[in-house]
Amino acid sequence: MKSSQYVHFFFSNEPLFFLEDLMTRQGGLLWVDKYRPKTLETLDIHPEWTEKLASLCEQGTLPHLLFYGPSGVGKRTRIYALLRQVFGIAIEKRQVEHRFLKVGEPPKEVELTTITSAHHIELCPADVGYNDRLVIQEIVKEIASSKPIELGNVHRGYKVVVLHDIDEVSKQAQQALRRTMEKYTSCCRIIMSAESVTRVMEPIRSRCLGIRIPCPKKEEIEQVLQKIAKKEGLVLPDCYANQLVTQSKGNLRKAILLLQVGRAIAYPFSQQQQKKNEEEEESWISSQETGWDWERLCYDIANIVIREQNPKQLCNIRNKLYELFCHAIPGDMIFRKITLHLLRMMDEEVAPQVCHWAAHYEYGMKRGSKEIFHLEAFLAKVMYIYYSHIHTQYSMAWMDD
Amino acid sequence: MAPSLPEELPWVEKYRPNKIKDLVYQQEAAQLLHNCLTSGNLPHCLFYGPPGTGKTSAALAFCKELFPPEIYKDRVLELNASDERGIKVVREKIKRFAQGSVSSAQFEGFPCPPFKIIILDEADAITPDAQTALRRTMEQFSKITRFFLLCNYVTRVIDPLASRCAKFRFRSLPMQLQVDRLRYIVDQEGIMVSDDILQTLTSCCNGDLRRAIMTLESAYCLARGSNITDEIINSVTWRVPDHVISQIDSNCLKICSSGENTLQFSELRNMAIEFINNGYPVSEIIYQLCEALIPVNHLNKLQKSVIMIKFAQAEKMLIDGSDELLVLMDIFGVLFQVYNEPDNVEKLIWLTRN
Repeated sequence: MKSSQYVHFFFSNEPLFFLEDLMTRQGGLLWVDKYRPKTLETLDIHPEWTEKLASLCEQGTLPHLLFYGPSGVGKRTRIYALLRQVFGIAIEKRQVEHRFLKVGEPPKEVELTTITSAHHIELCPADVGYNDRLVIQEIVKEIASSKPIELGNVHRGYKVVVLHDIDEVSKQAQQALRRTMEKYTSCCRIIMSAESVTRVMEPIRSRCLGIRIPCPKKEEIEQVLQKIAKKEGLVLPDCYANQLVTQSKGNLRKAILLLQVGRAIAYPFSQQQQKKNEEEEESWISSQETGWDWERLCYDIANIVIREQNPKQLCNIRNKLYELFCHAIPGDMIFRKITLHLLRMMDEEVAPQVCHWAAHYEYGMKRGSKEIFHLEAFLAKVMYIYYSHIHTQYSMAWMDD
Repeated sequence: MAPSLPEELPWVEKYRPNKIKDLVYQQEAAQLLHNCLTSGNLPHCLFYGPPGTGKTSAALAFCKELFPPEIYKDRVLELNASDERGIKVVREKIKRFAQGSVSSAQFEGFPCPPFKIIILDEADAITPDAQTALRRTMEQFSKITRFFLLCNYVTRVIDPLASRCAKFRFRSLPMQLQVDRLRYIVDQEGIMVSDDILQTLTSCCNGDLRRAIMTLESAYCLARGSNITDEIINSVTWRVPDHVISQIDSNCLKICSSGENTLQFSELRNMAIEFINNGYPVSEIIYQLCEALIPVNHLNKLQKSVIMIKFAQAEKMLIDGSDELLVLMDIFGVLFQVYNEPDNVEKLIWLTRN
């Protein structure tokens, strides 16, 4: 549903090669989906929540829930597992529908993808973009206000609306959700997922139980990787597993995808390890730090800024930025990555300034429309700061604006 | 199925007050509504205040006491942000409802005054255009229709509308009243909870009673019949744990007292990354850090002012959708410099540039 989830993945070194391998040998299933835990008991990470969620279901008074945490930590998986616990096996019969709906006055046509089962409906209002308010006003309200149909013995008296990426929807849409959440609580529960709760308005937060899902610990990721490797009948050396864990930066989905890509490129894994060692040291470091190609490009950009500060290099950077945009990498991810790389390589003294300008220009980018301008302005600014820092021992660069 | 439904209601709905006299706090509004019940006189009203202070509850409870269920639908129109409320709706739906005359039928036990009520919930979300269209409607039909406007921010309701209403500010509920209300719910449900727990619970909720009740219910569900502990409360509130907040302050102190030669911003940077990875909401970090830093002694007035200005700027950036990690690192960058150079007035002031 979230288009950006897999996009970074396909911009990897050997996409075609990998795809071929995927289709022929592995039955066309990504391991992330194949080994996605289906029930609460089989969830591998965050056991502390598992029991609590189970007891929430038992009570029969499931509150509205909001799962929040960084991407790739299993928010969605947890929601499915919870629904499975509440409604039983019936939830597994899911249907994906692309609908064209007419909403609003005058009617506008919006395209919406929904996933439905007998007991729940799942949608991502942010997909609709500008019209998300209308979707919430009409569709969600309509679903929420009708009573659930009785189905066998799993009747619960309520149904569930799952709204993904609630932090991406507009303020008006969130406003529209407020009273809906209260008015129809007798027959409908709303479960939401968000990456950043800061963008979810206070009134919504005060209406639901927030469940924070932090990044899994390194050992936890390693365990999951080993488990998958075992099921696939692979030998996963500790050092390679370690490397994957470092690259994933706490993102479990990324770790699993990397493992599968690694499998497609070369097996046994130890060969790969050696191949890396033979290459020159610098590129080895960069591959240690990064997973996908787009991340490596960000690393290159940061590297250029540190090495040389002149207009020529800025042009060079522009090409690389365009390459990133061509592959539909969102601007804020580029911003984050480049800033982190810069901070790691820079002198500590200028770091606070770089942080300030990063936040400043990223803010500009969110409000403006052309992402490239703001990224370039930021990089030019960093070049300037760094240049004056190197060339005058007692830098006064903080004085000019 | 029907009889089992009321039990399924969350406590927030189950214990919503049904009568004006059940209303907690908010004496002025309660007084006015109570007077109206006896005299039948009612001005247009504007209720404003932070979430969870009982605005919607007051309006709904009042209407329920005023009209019997049989004619409730004819007399009360409730529109909230989940309904389309563009200018067209104001011109047609609201106007049509406001125009229609009312019957003078009387019902036993209900005052049933000869007017209708339109409740506009979340009025700050109505577009200014639509609000303008409402102006004349409000006056024209004031004989037979009264308006309740409910909103969080009174500044977002246009002045001409606000001046047509009697304004009531719904204040954040004092701790003790919240604890009393929670105590009442707990007694009704037959749960054993100590007063201390209720105190901690309310202190996490900034005067938002709905949030407090919500948290209480979640905590009760999670505790599964056993006693509710501080730990459970902490896991269900939105607050960032206190030790995380104090960690920021102590780390900054440690870094700046370790001598000028070893500037260690990277430690703060890693802390920022860790916070984001743990999923702590940055807006909440700012809010709690602000509370924590105001009373400390190791910062002078200038330092504190600079930090607070930075917080204000950062909050604005977050609301406008900036990246959380970058904003948090920006804040830490400023903290780092403020802690390091307490006497460099020029630089500190420069830090507050936008």
